[in-house]
Amino acid sequence: MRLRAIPKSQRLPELATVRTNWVCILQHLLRRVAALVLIVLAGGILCATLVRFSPGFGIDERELDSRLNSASIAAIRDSHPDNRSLPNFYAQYIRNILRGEFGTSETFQRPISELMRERSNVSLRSLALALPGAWMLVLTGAILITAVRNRGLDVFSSVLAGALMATPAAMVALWAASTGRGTGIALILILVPTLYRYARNILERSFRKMHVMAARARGISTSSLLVWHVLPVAAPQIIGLFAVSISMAFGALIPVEFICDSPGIGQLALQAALGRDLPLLVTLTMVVTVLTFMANTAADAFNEAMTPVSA
Amino acid sequence: MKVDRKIAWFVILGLVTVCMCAQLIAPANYAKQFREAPNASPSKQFLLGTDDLGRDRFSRLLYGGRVSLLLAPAAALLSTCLAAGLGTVAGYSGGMLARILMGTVDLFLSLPWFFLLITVRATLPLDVSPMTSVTVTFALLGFLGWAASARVVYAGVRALRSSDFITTARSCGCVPWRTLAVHIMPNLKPILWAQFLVSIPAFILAEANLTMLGLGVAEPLPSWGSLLKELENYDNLSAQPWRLAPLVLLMLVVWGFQALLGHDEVMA
Repeated sequence: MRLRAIPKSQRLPELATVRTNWVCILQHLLRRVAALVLIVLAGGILCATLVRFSPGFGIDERELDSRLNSASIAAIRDSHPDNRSLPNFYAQYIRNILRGEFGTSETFQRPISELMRERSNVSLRSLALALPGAWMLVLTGAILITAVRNRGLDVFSSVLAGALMATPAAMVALWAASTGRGTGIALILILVPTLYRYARNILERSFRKMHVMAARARGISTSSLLVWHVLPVAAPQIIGLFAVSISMAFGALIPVEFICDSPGIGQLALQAALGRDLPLLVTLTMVVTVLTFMANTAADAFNEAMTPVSA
Repeated sequence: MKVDRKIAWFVILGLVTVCMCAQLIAPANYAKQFREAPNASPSKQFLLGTDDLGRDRFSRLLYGGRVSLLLAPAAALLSTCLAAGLGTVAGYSGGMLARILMGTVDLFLSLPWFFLLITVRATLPLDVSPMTSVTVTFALLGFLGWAASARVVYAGVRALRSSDFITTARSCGCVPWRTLAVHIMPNLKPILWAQFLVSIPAFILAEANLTMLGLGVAEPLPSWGSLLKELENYDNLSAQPWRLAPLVLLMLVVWGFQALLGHDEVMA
């Protein structure tokens, strides 16, 4: 009788062959880059559609001259580069986006790329203060609460985080603006409660793992437990959470910068929304999406590089 | 049932009952102006005083609560239904359709929520009647808030699909729609209920933020967001602490919904 070969998919994985799977990371990165290109293309087409079909698009002031006859007006329209066929228009728009030219804002009557360059400096300064500040508070608090295991302290921190989470971001911004605290503090207050709850739960779960409990039973000190057994297990999720916090921070920029009158991209986005400046708004959303997407990709790649994969 | 969940149920049901009976309890209509008494302090006639336009704050608080507590669950129901539909189809069908649907979900999830919200809100008319504005605001929340829930539902359906009882049902000749309706959907109830409860406080807060920024519910219709707008004049707050009543109620409700699920379920 002839023995049938076991298909590759049904073979058992070889044990103890643990290696850093660079091929997997590369595949994952390629997938993410493809998704990023898709986002840019979709965003570009959406921007272009909004611009192309906005009222008054392609109208030349000379067309309002009553002395011109219909043939002259038609000639002016034909000479306008934007009035070419729709596919050409989209292609040109996407080409401009890839060159970093996003068109002109209707509200501000200035190039969008110039506005974004100006405003992003302010926002990045706020984020540079808020993100490390928030994470320092979150990690200190979460590590302290889970390591000390004091019920009263845990309840107090949970109630405080719950109260802050139940407060609208705009209300926190209003408080910061009225008391002269600035955007950084408002952002920290908005980010900390949500991040704290996630981080605390991640650390708590890591503390409850069997190997940690076994190590604790053998009398290993809390600091050693944290450094050698809890934090390495929790690290991938914490890194993932850091990427999420960037997206959260960008979202919080809108109410905070608008209410605190800080001229950043959050304020720009809301001014664009109130003025129905859709090309500017969609471009801003696209740029922020690309930034957060890149942060998520970096976090995922880092996690995959850190995690050994069995072959 | 844990004590905090019991308290949360009591608080939410109590507030919903009071706000739904606003027409019976409120001393005045939300838009009625007492022009002789603008900015009045609390009294027997005006329990929480009046605002700049002489409108009774207590009445506006009750009517505002009715808007938030009625429409946020409606929006949550809409988003949960969308999530259930898309998540179930993707999870059960698998293959290319699932990849396309989940790719869309991932794309949606990578968009910053508040940027997306104001972008879509800005594409709709801003100068509309109060009733239209409130409908548009909550419909928008419902239509845009489904992506995270869809991913959870998808994972739930995938897990159920590979379970033994579904395999048995399929091997017995159970057609796909019957498998979905009779075997999968009833088992998804706890997941859908959790997603519904998670969405409500998120939508209440999103409405408050949108309205405070001028993109939500339009005057004179009150919502908790529009009542919080009154706190923009922060200086007099220590002298008039009763103006914080909408914030206290909003925080109570959001805390209540969070407590209903418990820490671990919310963060899972």
